[in-house]
Amino acid sequence: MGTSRPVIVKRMPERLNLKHAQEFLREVQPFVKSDRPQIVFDFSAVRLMDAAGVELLLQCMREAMKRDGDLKLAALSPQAAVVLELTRTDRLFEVYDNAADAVRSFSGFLPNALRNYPDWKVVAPTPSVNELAA
Amino acid sequence: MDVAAIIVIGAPPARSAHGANGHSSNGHGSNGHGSNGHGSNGHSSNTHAADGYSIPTSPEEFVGLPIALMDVLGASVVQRVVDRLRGAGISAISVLFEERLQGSPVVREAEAPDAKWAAAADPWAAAEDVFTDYAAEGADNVIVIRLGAYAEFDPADLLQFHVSQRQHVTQVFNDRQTVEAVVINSDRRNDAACLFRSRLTKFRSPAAAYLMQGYMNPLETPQDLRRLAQDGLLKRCALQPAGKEIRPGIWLGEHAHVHRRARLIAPCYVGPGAKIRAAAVLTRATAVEHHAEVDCGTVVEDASIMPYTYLGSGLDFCHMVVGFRQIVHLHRHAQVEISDPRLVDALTASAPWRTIESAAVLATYLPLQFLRGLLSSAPRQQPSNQTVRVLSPALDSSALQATTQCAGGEDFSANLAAVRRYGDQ
Repeated sequence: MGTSRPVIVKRMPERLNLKHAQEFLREVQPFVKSDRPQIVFDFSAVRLMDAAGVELLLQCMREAMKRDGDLKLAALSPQAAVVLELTRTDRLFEVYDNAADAVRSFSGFLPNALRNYPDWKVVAPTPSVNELAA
Repeated sequence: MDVAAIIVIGAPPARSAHGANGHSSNGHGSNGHGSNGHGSNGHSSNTHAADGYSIPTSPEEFVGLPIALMDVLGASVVQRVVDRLRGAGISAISVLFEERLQGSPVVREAEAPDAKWAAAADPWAAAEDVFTDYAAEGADNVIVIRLGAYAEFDPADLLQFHVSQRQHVTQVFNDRQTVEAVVINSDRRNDAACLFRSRLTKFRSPAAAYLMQGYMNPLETPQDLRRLAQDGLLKRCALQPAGKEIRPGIWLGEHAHVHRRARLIAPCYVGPGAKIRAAAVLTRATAVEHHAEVDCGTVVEDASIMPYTYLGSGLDFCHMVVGFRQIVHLHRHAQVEISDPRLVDALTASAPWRTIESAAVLATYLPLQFLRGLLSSAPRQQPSNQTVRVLSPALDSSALQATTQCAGGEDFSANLAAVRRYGDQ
């Protein structure tokens, strides 16, 4: 069941709003539209995410599914986790604690690395109000 | 024949008998069915029927059937226990169940061909006779298990322990409670009779205590059933999904049909002959047992779907056990009977009947659509509520696209309220 196809890990930008999401989509489109893409989005740097970010994820997921590939998420920051949970999009993805586990999960099932079982865990420290304002 | 095994399904000891364990072995007096940290949470389950009445349910049963007979990841618990015993080289296995269950489709499907199945008005009285038969046939030891709880112990190791202890009876424990499994020397018929008559609660003489280290699930409530499926998928126990792992963490049974637009998120299980329609989503250790059907756009999250169950289109099943037209909500601790077949239905177990029913649905659907097309004056705005036309609330972004088009071209919407429609419409 293991696969020899490459796994692309993309680090998400710090802000996933309309402007940055569009830029990011342009950047990842060649990978997403490749044959049977295997992609991991690393959310460790994401500090702001809105509907555009969610739309970006769903669009990438749809494209990957069309081509018999998959998109997995890794190292969700608390901000991203809250938005994904709020919109209930978190349940549409396999979520891993870190990108390395997510990459390995393409070649073998890693039940202990999955993030949604049994509880959500916070990976990144929550930034202060001042950091958010900046 | 050195060793034989008797499995008794259902017929738990009377609740008042708990704690009074007679000549309990080596100080392990507790015989409760209490929680072991794996699923059972101690509350009493009630059935909330659609008409608002609350009906108490029996422990270890779901819709009147023993949970041990229910399928978990492609095989019933009793089948898995039989397989485990056979794996340890025990070929003479009898499964005894209550007479009221005879003829039930669940029993018919659970019946393992490699064990003798027998119904009896009192399975414990029947067990006494079977024990005598095995003793006459030359068995040295007999393992007696009540299901009941699902316990993963090594039968070969248990037998070795029993022989080494030189006791007439060995009782199995885990670190928290009694496991309803004993080994009895076949020449100790009076000990056996006492045990069977007390439903494995009273011992005539002190018994050796075998401490098992493996996984145990009390299987008292549907919550425990769900927990077992989840633990199997997450590899917390030795229970393996009966199917082929097509992708890491995704198991498919034979002839399972998964639409290419359906999304399966690992870990999940789709049983033999099950159908997952377009844009359906199975996520968070969901198990869809054999010949169940998940219609278009339905999201099944952290749920177990029993065999021959139909889930309607565009619905959201979260934290549930669904089957036999019943829904058990695991977080609300409520059981609800659903009478609307568009939401949840029970499919017939007969394959020709299922084909005829599908043909009948198609035959009524097509003329209806044709008539609608002829009679409608305006172009249809949205797909009707017919099953095959419903788009996925979870996967399809038509709603948001409409919003963004209004906002101007390819721009993303920044309206979270619109995005909310993705996940839970």
